[in-house]
Amino acid sequence: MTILYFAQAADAAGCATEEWPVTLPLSVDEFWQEAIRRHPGLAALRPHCRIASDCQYLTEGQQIAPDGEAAILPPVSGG
Amino acid sequence: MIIEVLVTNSPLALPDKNHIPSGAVARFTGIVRPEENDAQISALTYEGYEPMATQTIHHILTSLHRDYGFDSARVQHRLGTIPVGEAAIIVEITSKHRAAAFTVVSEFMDRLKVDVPIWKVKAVRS
Repeated sequence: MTILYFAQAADAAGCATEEWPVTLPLSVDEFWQEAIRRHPGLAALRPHCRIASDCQYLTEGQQIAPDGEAAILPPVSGG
Repeated sequence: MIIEVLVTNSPLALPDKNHIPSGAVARFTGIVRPEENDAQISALTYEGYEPMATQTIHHILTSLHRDYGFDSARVQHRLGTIPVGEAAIIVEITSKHRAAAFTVVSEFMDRLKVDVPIWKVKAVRS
């Protein structure tokens, strides 16, 4: 699974991208647990961030495919 | 309906087009201001999740087209470091009448600031 971190999430993770060697789909909650285990600084951002997989926002009940792409998206500020 | 979206690291340029079939053209240009959080700055750096930003802008415009039936939409958003005074975004909507064009520009900007994955990540102090 390819993980993308943006803006404050990249600051907290200390990187913009990484690969996770997972073989099963992850729920959004499982995804967050793993992200925070790897980068504890993300815990404070979790309430404010959304998760996207393959360019679509996910809701709590959805899953991320093991060969998919997942992104942690802080509140946006474009324009 | 025509939708053109560009998310780019280059300076924005949206040349005038021949809008003869439309009665109204509304264009919004968002410019980097010289102040950010009460500090004088010389530039702002934007970061984006480019493929999702492009896709989400398309989705928003398609949704607005269902609601307001405009003729065309052109949106450009710049990423990277943008000097003060230069455009970060240009939105142009053409429609039969002015009300739809103004409304779509305004609603598009509101929705961009909620759903389009682009961030101001750094202000460059003067």
